[in-house]
This record gives sequence, structure tokens and C-alpha cells, in this order.
Amino acid sequence: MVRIRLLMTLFFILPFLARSQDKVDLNIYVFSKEGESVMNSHLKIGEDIRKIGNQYGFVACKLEKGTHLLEVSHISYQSEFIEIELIRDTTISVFLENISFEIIDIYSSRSNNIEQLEDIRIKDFKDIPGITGTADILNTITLLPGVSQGKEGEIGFSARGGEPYQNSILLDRSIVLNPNHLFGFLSTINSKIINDVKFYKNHIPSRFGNASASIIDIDVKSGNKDSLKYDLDLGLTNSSLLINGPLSDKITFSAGGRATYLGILLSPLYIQYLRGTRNFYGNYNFYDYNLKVKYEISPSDKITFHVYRSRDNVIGKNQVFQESMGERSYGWQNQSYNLSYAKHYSNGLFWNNYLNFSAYNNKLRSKTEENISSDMPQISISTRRSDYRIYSFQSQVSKSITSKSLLRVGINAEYTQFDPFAFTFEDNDGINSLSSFEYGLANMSLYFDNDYDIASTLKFNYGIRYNLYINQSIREGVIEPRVSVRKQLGVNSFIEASYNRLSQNRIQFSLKNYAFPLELNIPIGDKVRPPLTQQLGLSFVKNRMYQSSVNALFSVYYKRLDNLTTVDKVVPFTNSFDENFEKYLSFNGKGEAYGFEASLSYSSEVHSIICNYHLSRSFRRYETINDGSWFPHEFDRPHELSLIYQYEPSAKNSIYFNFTLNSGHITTLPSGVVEVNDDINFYFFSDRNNYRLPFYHRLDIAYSRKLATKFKRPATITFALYNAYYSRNAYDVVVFRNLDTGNYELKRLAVFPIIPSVNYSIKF
Amino acid sequence: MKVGLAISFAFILLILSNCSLADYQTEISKSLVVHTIIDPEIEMVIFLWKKQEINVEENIDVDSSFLLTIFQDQEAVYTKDVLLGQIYTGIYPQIGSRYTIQVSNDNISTYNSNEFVVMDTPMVLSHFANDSIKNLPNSTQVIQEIGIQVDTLSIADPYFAYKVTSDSSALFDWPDTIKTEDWEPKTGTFCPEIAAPVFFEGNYRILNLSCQKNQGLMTFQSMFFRPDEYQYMNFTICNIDDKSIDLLRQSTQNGLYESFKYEDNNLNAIFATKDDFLKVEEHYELVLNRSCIEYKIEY
Repeated sequence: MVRIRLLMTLFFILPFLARSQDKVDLNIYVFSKEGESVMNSHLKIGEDIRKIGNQYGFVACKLEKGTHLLEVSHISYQSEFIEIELIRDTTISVFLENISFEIIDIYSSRSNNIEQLEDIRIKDFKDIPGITGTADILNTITLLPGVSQGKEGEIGFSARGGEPYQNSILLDRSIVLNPNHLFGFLSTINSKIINDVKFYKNHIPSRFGNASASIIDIDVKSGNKDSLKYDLDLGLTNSSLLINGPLSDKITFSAGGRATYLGILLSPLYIQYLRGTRNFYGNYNFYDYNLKVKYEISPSDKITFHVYRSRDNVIGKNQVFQESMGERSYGWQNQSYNLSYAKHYSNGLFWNNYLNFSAYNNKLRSKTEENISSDMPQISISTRRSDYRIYSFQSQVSKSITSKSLLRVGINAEYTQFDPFAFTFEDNDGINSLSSFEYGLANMSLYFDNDYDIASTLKFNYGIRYNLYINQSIREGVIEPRVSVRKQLGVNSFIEASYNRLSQNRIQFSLKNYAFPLELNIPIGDKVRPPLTQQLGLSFVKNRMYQSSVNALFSVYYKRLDNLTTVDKVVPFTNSFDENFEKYLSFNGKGEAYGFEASLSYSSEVHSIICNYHLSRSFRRYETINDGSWFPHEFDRPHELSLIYQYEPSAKNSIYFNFTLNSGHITTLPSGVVEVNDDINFYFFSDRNNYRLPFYHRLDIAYSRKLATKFKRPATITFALYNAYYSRNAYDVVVFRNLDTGNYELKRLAVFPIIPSVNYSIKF
Repeated sequence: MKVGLAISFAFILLILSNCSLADYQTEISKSLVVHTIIDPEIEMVIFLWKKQEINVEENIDVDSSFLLTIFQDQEAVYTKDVLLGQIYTGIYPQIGSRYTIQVSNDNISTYNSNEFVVMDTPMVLSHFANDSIKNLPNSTQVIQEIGIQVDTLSIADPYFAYKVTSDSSALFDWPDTIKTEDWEPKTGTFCPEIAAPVFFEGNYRILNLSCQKNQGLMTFQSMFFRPDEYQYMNFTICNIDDKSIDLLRQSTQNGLYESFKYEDNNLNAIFATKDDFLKVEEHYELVLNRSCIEYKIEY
């Protein structure tokens, strides 16, 4: 224990030891050409000094007096080279040009370089079309090696064998708990509103908490300073509009909304239903919107306010002889409100504060009406609902202590309310609330996090986060040390090793009622322990190989998970999953995951190829499941390959091929049967996750053409085909008794056919 | 470079096409399925089945014999060579006694059952009957409500099985199924769960009172208007143990899996719950441990 304290003290004071007196401060604010801050930009000075900017586009360093050549770059922008003579402390602003549709050479070798493992090019998730013909951030992330998506139409993904709830999607530092529209085919994060995104799955710095597998850290556009700009997307089933610009010299805003109009398209069916010529009617609606306002009180004081909301709702109605009617609706919604204040002091200190509120709920509502034509129809309505609300405050100070160190120290106070089992029943007699059990959990966190360059080619990021979880049943502290070491091996390659210990203040699992999952968030307590993850990772990056056309990233990792909780006895949620829920859970589970990841990208003027592959395994062990033996996790995919090819024969035309080849999903199948008599068979499943489905493969194709509009506004039309060669992938398999032969056979169920889509996008 | 890329790609494809093909991921064992109902003073009948494997050639020989031994309070009270099928044991379980079952054969691992304690019957402390809803202000037709209070000390857990065996207001002598269905548990007084388990012979229904503070109060409501006059009815109320609940829950879910499979798209079968029956090492134990009383309500 004494050694640990000594080590912690040493880590903390290390940056101060190298303090230099003979240097001057260089402060750089990095903006896009439109005047938006560019977060996480890279500053390179000579071959030795490399710095990363913060989320306000600020990057600072201490330099010797004299002339220096600066290179300011970002993976989504064109690099800027500046020669500067420093004689005193200096602050400059640098404006970068976006790599966008207007730039032909989008895969220029410089911008394609892998500078950081967490980088994701904005272009990638804005160009690769998904099922609706529009690009999507979460779908793009699931193409990365080490990321496994659930079945088609099921929400959630696993990063490096972790649980889906161990991924945290942060929208301006507010958590989004279910970022899925259309059961996961489209994310609720509209790609058009994204200013920058980082995906942490290798090393998660200690400034991030409550995410033990990955962080998707999204910065939302706060609006350009020039003029009002519009970005309109028109699709077959949904459309979106983004407006951003200045409200005054000091205030900018961005507002984006997206909605589907399936209801309008299906209205003829609804009219038939109302007329009684049709017995069934179904509809799906979703929307999401963002509004962000930034107020620059002064060049060193900024306030931003961001509102985000999304909602999905599916409804089905049926009627029998216009005498009885049934209606079932299922939906979920996210909302977050974020107020942040940032101040930059003249001594180089940054002070960031965030006040957040995030909420999520999902709901299944069933309504039946009998004897509709009588004076007193019998009506009964049952509603099952799961609610989750987070109130949090974060405050962080960061400062470059020396030219080699950027120190961040912060505090996070969070209170979470859980109400996972609310159930009400209503009939002619009135409303009867059967159950609603609220749980609360307070979470205090303290952390420090330091970027420290021991030498020009050897860099550390290290830190410790201390989490204190408090509620009626527990008061537990968890210490989370995190460290990464990066060694530059020449100009174009580096190796990075990391160790992370991470914990979580909640678990989440789904209970299903047929296809409708109810996401239940359960707080940690005396039985549900805080899940702990320890991960060791090693990555190697080699840029600009083969005439600067190929970049490569290789990683290996080993992950150990403890204190896991899962469902032991699956109870459909229409049943009694109530305050006795612990009865149905299995505790103190263990997990293990390991893998190898490879990502290769090749680019020339007209061709670009990205090939992502991983070889990985993920296992779990619970005392009460599968006789306490290790079994494959439901997201265990030994092999996943995605191959993205873009052919751009001219400035106007692009063709995309996105080929996916994955190991089959893990499922549970009966391994045997007992025929009791002719009409009753008993199935025995033997083990959970005991069967792997056949290989999954799919090709998506898209063609984009840039159009010249009357007023020379940039426009693009995209035609896309999801599952272009109609691969009948097994969604699942059932054991089926062949009534002719009496034998038991396996029968696959393929759900998703070819899905065409068209999308028209215009900016003005 | 292009050759290198092509070779790498071909290598990856080779790995992918040879690994993790569709298959069971664990070895599937040869299993016996042992089923019996433990009911105080009622002969224990044991059903011995083999699990018919799917996609497995090797299986338990249908004609081989097994040594069946039953222990009462750790003393062997029944030992006999038996074949697969229905076995009448001549054992009448005694309340408070402990029973275990053993099945062995040279070709399979020995099955040693869990220990079953024959439970006390539930003790009814009181009951009430209310005419809760009248059809019309002056009508004699009412919706009735019945409450049965059971001593919670005499129950193993907050689950009960019940059925209605006679009902004076029934116009015809309906089967127990219909009489039982005429008396639904009152919404709000129980946690809906297994309702009517397919495995429980005798048209019993299951009542889960775990979400109620007083876990011994069963409240029923008549499904139809009934005459407001003297009536009586007989309830059979059973105490069931924790493992039996799992058996009933699993058998019900299993029945849904079976029936859903034959729908057009099998989708609901896929979403059906896929827990397993209780296993003791390789073998399955389907034992229903219950203890019932008859209770007559007059009002």
C-alpha cells in the first residue's frame, strides 16, 4: 500500500520536476474555416514535439525563443503549416479547411495518417451509406476491428468482448443510453450535427468514467460564425435538416432535426383499417433533434447549452368484426440537457464545467377493447415502463505544467435514479399501479490525468480515477489506475501499450416480450457488484507504406472482467419481474476476452480500400449457468471482416462497396427432446449459448453523384442497396420436427431481404 | 505490394471459411430425464425417459435396463432393475420425510437426485367473500370476490397452485378447467407469471404472491355475474417448492417454444425463453413436489 502511495505521489509530481524557466508559451486556438473550434487537433513542431488540442480547439506548449515551423493538423481537415518567430508568450488562431465533398483528393496520404488510435475520420461516417442511404456514426464504428454488432435489428454492440452497457456514448459529455432508431439500423445521433468524434477502446483516460469497454466521445457543432447555413437530407422514409450560423457576434447556434414519415406513406392502410376493410394496421415513427447555442462572453469565456432528444415508437392495431380491438405500442426515448462553461485563464489554465441531465425510458403498452358497439365497452390497458435519469456535474482544470506535460484534474458528482419495473393496469374500474420501485445511486469521482512526454519519442498518458458509489445498500470505493505508453519508431510508425482498470455504476440487460426488448438498468448494490474490467493492450501503427498509399494498424489485447451480473432465469417482462428481480439474476460472474485486430487502408486518386479484421474470443462464467463452466459470450465473434471499397472515377461520381463477412452469432438451441406423447414435447437446451449460427455475409452497394444545382449549391444524390445479393443470413435457427419423417431438423430463419434506398442531400 | 495484399486477403478468407462453422459449441452428453410427482400419501410414479439428441449419432440404448433405487431418510426403500418408461414404485411419501432417487447403468453416469422434503399442506386461517360489483342497482347478479388467507409459516415460498373442483352456482357440472377459469386472481393482488403451466396435470393454475406484502392472501374474482345467494365451492390449494416453480416456469416456456415453431416464420420461437430444465450433472430432473388441501368456502 505504501508503495502504491509513493508511486501515485511520484506520478503526480513528475510533471513539475521538469519545469523550465527559459521558454515562452505558445497558445494556439484551432478553428475550422467556418469558425468552429476543432477539438483534438494535432500540433507538430519539428520531429520532436507533438501535442494534442483539447475539446475547445486549444493547444499549448512551451518553446525556446526563436523561429519554429508548426504543423497543425486534424484527421478531418487539411493540415496548415505556419512559420513563427517567438520572442515572448504568444497566442495565435489557426483556421483549418474541412476535407469535404468539395475536395477531390479526400484520401490524401497526409490526412489519412493514423496519428491516434482513437481517431475516426468524419468523412468515413459521413460517406459510407447505411440501410436508409444515409451515413451513420454507430454503423461506421461497428465496422471497426474489435467491435461486434448484435444481430440485425437488435440494438447494442460489444467493444473487445465487453458487455453492450459498458459502452458509453457521450454527446457533449451527456450520456445517451439507447442511441438507436429502427432497432439499431440507424443511430439517434444525426451525423450532420457532429463536429468531432473519438472512439476509445484501447486506452480510456481517467477523465472518463462509468464506461469499462469503450467511449464514443462526440462533440456537437456549435455553429459557424459566417452566415446561416442549411444542410438538407431527403430520403424515402426519413429526412433531416441542419441549420447553423451566427445569432450575433458572440452567439452561434446549430439546430438539427430528423424525422420519419412512414406514417404518411402508410396512411392508405390506416384509412382501410378505420373503414373496417382491413383488420391490421402497423406504423413506425421516430424523430430526433439537437439544439446547441454557444455564447462567447469573451475570447476566454464560453457558455454552451445543448438539448438533445430522440424517440422511437412502433404501434400495431388489430380488430375483430369491429367488436373487439387490440392495440400494442412499444417505444423508447432519450433526452439530454447540457450546460457547460469554459474559462481560459491567462496563465494557460483551462477550467471546464458541465451540468448535465440525461434520461431514458422505454415502454410497452397494450390496450384491448371488447364489445365496442355496446354502451359500456370493456377497456383494459396495461403499461410496463422502465425509466432512468442521471443528474451530473463535472468540473475539470487543465494546464500545461511544462512544455512536456498537460495535467488535468477533475471532479464528477452524479446522482442516478432508476425505476426499471413500473407497471400500471387500467380498466373500467380505474387505474391500478401495481409496481414502481425507485432506486437511487450517488457516484462521486475524483481523477487526475496527465499527458507527459518523457522524451520526444516516448509519451505517457497516466492517471487515476477514484469512484465512490453510495446508496442504501453499499458504500464502496474503486480505484482505477490507467496508463498508456507510446513510443515513436521513426516518422511514420509508433507502438502503444496500455493498462486500464475500469468500473461501472450500473448494469443493463434486456427482457423480451417477443421482439420487443425492455432495457432494464439496474444500479449496483450489495449483490449486484460494480463490474470491473482490466485490459492490457498493445498496438502498432505504420503509416505511409508502399509509396505513401497504405496505412496499417495492428493491435492485441487481453481483457478480464469481474463482478458481472446477468440474467439467470429469463422471465418475459410481461411477467412478474419486480422488486424481487435479484431472484432471477446470477452474480459474481467472470469474463475473459482476447484478440488480434488489423486495419489496413489503401488510397490512390480514384480508389480507396479499408480492410478491417479481428480474430477474437469472449467468454463468461457464472456459478449458476452452464454448471459453472466458461461459455461463449453472446457477442463472441471469432472472425469479423469488413471491406470497404470506394471507387471515385470522377469528381462527381462515387461508388461504394461495403462487404461484411463475420462468424455466425451465438445462440441457444435445444440439444435434445423428449416426446412425452403425441402432442407434448419437452426440449432440453443443455447449455446457454451452445450453438453458433452459419457465417454471416452481406454486401451493401451505394452510388453517389454530386449534382450542380441552379445556384451552384453542393448537392448529392445517393442510391443504395442493403444486402445487395440477397444473402439469406440466418437470423436464428429453430429445431423443427419434420412432420413427414418425424426427424428433428434445424431450420434457419432469414429476415432481412434486399433493401433499396434513395437519399438527396443539399447544402445552402 | 498488390500480390502481398492479395495473399493476405486470401489467407484471411481461408481462415474465415474454415473456422467457427455452424455447430453446437459444447459436447452434448447422453442424458436421462427423470420425472415424478411427490404428493403426500399418493404413490410415487416415476417416468424414465432418454433425451433424444439432435444431430448426435450416439444415444442411450432404448432397450438397456437401469437400476432404480429410492431412499427415504437415507435408507433404501426401493431397488429394482427397470426399463425406460413408467414405473410404479409402491412408495407413498410421508410428510416431513426426505427422499432421493438414484438411477445407474454401465453406459451412463449415475443419476443421484436432489433431496426432496415432503412438505406440509397449506393451513387456511380464514376466508372472506364480497359482492364487489352489482350488475344493476337492484339486481341479484353480482361479481364476487373471494379471499383465502393462508398461514405464511406453512408455505415454502409465495407460490401456490390452485383449482376449483366444485361450484354450487355452476349451471352444469363443468370440468375443473372451466370452474377454475371462472375464478381469476384479482388484478393487483398477485404478480402475473406462469398462469397455467402445461406440465401440471389436473388443470391447476399457479399464483405468485411474491410482489404482495401479505404473501399468504389469495384473492379471486368471478369472471361472470353470479346469483347473490347462498353458495359454496371447493378449492384445492397446493404448496409447491422452489424447484417445482422452476420446473413449471420452464415447462410453460418450453410449450411456447414448441407451439411457436410451427408458425409461418418461427420468429416467436426465436424470441421464446430458452432456459433449461434443472440438471443434476448430465441428467434432467423434472420433479414436482407439492402438498395440497381441499378447502370448502360457504357464504
